[in-house]
Amino acid sequence: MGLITIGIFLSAGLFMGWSLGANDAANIFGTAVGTRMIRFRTAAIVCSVFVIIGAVVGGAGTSNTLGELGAINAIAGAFAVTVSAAFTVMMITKRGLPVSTSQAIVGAIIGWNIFAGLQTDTAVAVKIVQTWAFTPILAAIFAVVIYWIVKYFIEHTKIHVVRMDKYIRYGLIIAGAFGSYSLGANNIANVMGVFIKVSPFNEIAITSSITITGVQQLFLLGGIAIAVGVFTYSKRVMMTVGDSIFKLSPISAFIVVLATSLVLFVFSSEGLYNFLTSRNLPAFPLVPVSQSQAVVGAIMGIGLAKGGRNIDISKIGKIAMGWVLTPLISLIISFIVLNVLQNVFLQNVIG
Amino acid sequence: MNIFKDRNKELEMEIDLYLNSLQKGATTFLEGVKSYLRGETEQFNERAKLITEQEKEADEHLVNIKFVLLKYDLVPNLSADILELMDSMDDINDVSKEVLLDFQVQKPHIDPSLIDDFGHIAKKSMKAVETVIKGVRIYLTEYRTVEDYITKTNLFESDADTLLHNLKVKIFDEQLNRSLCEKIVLNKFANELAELSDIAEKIASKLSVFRFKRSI
Repeated sequence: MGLITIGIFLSAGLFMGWSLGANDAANIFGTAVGTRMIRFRTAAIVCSVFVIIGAVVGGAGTSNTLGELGAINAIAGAFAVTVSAAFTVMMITKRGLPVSTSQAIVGAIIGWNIFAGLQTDTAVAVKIVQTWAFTPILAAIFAVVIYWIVKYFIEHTKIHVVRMDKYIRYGLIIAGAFGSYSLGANNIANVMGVFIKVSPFNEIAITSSITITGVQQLFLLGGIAIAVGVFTYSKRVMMTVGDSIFKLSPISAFIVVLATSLVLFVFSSEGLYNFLTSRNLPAFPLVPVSQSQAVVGAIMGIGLAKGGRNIDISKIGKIAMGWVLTPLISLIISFIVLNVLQNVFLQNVIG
Repeated sequence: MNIFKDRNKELEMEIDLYLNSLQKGATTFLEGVKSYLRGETEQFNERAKLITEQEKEADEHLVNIKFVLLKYDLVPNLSADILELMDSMDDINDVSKEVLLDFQVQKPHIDPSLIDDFGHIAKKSMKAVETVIKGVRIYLTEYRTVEDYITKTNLFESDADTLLHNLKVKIFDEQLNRSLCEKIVLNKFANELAELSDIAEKIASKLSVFRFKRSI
């Protein structure tokens, strides 16, 4: 297969990465940049570097889970799945629902399974859906706990407000770096996961002991696409997040980012997974989850910790609707796109 | 090197120095009024000169606070509140200076029977100012207890108002053998002394709103 053809097929994943960078980076640094606590340039650099590290170093776990759901074995099929997911995300975003790339990609993969006449592993599918439902809940729990710790710390120390400002800025950068790493590790599966089985890259040996696998190169490419999204388009989204959507104080923003990052981390860390399973403890499944929905959960957690005022219950309904609607729409679109690619463009979408 | 300067530390220090200047100004104001009431002209003139310097010093710190706060975008979520507080506190030294200079220029004759009343109003005003300055310091560090200072400031202001009313009654009483013109001048000075407690009350009222934004 020619380089241009590979490039065209991979472009869907790169577009997905770009849109992830443009939108999800805003969830991490939006409030910090919108409230002028951190300059956009600093946020963009930190975010890009850590997203790439997260993708390359920690992206394997969630990608394997997507592989278990549907082992897409033709690059045109992977292209169709990614394009369908991206299109679904675009459509649902326009309706103002908190859409998840993870849910879109899962729907599209199941669409491919149906098209290929393969059985979808229901155990894996159930595990993924359960994780989605658990994501905002876990984010809320983390947010409540972190809120109490931070509140206790602030109320029991006599730190000058100006000095506190400095500490919060450091905190936002550190939490943002952790959030970016977790985003890269957890969500790279949505960007490049379906291309793993059809990766056109070969292993590169830098030294006798250091090699970069084809999958890592794929993830690096996806990470770079996310970074490009951060630099080219996320500023506008960050300003919107910081100024209008949820008015958070910088401390609350820190709590939200940390809680969200922890959620993404526990659902993508192979180290944590191995640590828990080796001790016969229940482990968090390695599943790509929705960062936006984790953010909503964390904000609600803060609302609960503050006494349960100002909680918009309709948001929970919208999230739950997204769990059903997003994969379903994505599945249908994926099925149609695969049909068109195979029957109109005569592409081999099943290996 | 300037780029490595800790701007947060610089701002914290400037705010501290500014509040110290205001504190000193309030003390000088009370000492000045006392000297005038006791007829100690030399000491009074020294206080009038001192308060002018202190007011200038406070103004310089205020300019620095505004510069550092806005130029380096520090405490962006609270900067408007901090600036408003600092700006309204500037009135403390302005009015203190104005009162002492008015005494120096107009030299009102205070009837011996009214000296204590004038002294008490000045003292209550100074107490109100002192308390609100402490309140602002607390707002900046340990905001949960700021309410105590707000209540105390309001209490001192209320006391100053009562004393002012009693003094006015005495001033305009027929037993005080003075012309209406002199009585109006005394009334004006009594109002000026109590004005400081009103300023303190206004700052306290701002504090009572701003403290909510300090919570997380």
